[in-house]
Amino acid sequence: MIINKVIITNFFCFIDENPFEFKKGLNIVSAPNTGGKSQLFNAFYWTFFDKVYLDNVAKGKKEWTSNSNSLILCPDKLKSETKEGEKIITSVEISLSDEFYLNNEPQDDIVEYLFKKQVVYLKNKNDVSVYGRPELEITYIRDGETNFILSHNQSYFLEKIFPSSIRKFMWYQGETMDELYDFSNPSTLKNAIREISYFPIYDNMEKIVKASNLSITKKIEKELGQQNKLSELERELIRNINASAQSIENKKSNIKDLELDIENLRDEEAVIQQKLSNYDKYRDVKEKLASLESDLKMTLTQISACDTYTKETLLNKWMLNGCEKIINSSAKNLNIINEEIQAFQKSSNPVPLNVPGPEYIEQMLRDCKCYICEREANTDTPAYEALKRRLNDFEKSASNKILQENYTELNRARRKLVNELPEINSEIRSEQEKRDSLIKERNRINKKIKNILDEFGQENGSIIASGAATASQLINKWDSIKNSIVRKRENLNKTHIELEKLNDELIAYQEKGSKIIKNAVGNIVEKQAGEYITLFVKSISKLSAIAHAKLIREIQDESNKLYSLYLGGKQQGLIEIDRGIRVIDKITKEGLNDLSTAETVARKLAVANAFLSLSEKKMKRSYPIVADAPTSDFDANNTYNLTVNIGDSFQQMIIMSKDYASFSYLELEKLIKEAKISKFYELRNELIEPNEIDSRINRKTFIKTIK
Amino acid sequence: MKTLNDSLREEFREILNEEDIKEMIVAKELDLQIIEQAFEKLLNNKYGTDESTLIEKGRADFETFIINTLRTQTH
Repeated sequence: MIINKVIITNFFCFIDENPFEFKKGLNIVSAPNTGGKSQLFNAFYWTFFDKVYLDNVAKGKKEWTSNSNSLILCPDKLKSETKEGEKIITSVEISLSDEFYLNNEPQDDIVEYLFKKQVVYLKNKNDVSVYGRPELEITYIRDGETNFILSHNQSYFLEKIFPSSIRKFMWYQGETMDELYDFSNPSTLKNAIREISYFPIYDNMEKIVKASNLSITKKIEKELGQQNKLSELERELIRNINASAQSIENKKSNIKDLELDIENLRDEEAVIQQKLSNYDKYRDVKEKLASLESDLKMTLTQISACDTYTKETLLNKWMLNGCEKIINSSAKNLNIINEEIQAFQKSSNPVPLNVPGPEYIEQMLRDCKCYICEREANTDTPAYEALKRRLNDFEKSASNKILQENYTELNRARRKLVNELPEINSEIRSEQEKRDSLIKERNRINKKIKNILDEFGQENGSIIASGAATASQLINKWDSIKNSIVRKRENLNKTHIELEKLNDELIAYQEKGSKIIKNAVGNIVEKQAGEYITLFVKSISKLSAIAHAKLIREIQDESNKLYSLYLGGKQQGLIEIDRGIRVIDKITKEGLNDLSTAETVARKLAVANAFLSLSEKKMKRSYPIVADAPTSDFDANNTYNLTVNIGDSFQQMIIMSKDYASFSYLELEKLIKEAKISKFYELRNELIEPNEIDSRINRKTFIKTIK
Repeated sequence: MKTLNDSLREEFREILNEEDIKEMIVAKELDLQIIEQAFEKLLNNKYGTDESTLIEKGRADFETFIINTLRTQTH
């Protein structure tokens, strides 16, 4: 297939009609950043696959957008300058030469296909909207007639000319290289191998010869029946042979299905493993965060307990801090009180202190008689005075008692304080140290949490939480797949055992049967045909197995050849293709996992290009490679090597890159010659009116043809 | 330039040269020309899909060719 011409009209930075002509061999479109190369790639991709690779402002990254029914692809200049109510037409026309496909089969007849995709926009008051939905028209001229590929057949046709299993190898965006070349997923390899190899053809042939094998056995039986040469017992034996052969076929088909299921499950497993490697970090991080958050909570509780203790207990003590002298000197005042108490207790009165109460003394004073000693106590006598004094003593005694209690209490408090005072400072200090250390711990934990969150570039942990949830889901799914694989394997083993038994049974029947048939059949044609068909059954299944091993070797050899070319012979190891693809050391055969970015990119490019190159050699189907920024991870030397060597592998290649913009004129001249570049375009996004303001509405891409 | 069918024929011939297949051809006295022509019938039906009608068409072409050729030879 050769892409001949592309005409881009009013598509992003391409204003008016912009024709590009491409030829067989290597075509280069060089442009600095914003030059328009990615929009050229988008023009191809939009036309064929209805997708564009654009900035998603909300997500802050570039991604494939397929919502082309609402996308505005026309240039800003036209959006701004078109009058209200007028229409803008954006279109891309691509002409390519390819084999003419009728149903499945290429017809060894090259025709030119014309793809024209157009969308109409309407200018409203302030913006433009889609007026006519994007429509693709595919036409080709054959036998002097223009033929249309109807819209309901277009996706089928596109699948034929750009098979989806290898589409990503021929149309690629350097920025999305990692997701495009996911060779760690065995199905990527498997599907690509099927696409470039004869396996679907061999599978088909195998089905035909097996169907024929069953059919011929029945024909032999029928023929013998018609000739009436067999007894009932012999017919029974032949029926058994046929039934056993049929059962064996069924079992083999079961085994094939189970093996396919296991293979698919393993593919799914690989996909999950791959996804998990992206999400597993969230699970680890979430666990780490949960542990840190629990530590933080505990530390905060401890800080809070510390604060409460300080407030409730230590603060009161702290207020007495420095009052030591006053407290000590209070002892003197307390002694005075004590002396007063003692003095009161020492006072002499003949009336005892333990008389029942003041009412009793008052009665004695009224009666002028002491009922304790039963003597008269007349007014103004010493006895009467003594009773009066004792009456006063009752009041004094009550206040003395209160005084004594207060004294005891004060004295106890003083002694306690005097004991505690020296320890208050150290207790406050130690409590403060404990609090400081807890705060340090809190800050340390907060910092750790912040570092983890910063690492994921966000303020909160929502992405981590959703990532961890996805990881858990993936793990559950993985477990379920692993269980399914175990069950399928058990089933497979069981089926193998049953198949073995059936084979033994068939051999036993055949031993008996062959003699009978030989005698009975003689040389009937069906019997001879059966022998031919048996040979085909054996050889076609052998062909498929041998071809697979051979093809893997060929892909590996081709990949290594290209790998070496792209790295200018400075590769560190060899590409090995097994279930996945890796680079191994030439001697130790150990996998090398510390390769530079350029080596990793070269490996991916080499393998992908090997598929396309082999497809061209094996299936006689050539595909153009259209690559945007394939060399973005390469240095100038690697870019040069790749450019010089990549063109030889393919019938046509279109590379869009900014890396040639840094080459001097002489270097470019040398490169064009050495790499046998067929066409070289240079794109520049420049001001339309140099004297006007620099704005998107005053800019467009200018095309300069260097070669 | 070698076509896809040329490549398929080439790989099939390599298989016919494998020891066990060669022995089978000799033991059953199979005609190499018939084998090669029958393979052409398979090549004609190589682009079948899983549809049983296409497999059936391929089978009929292939099997009928072998039987008819052998019948012609017998007569």
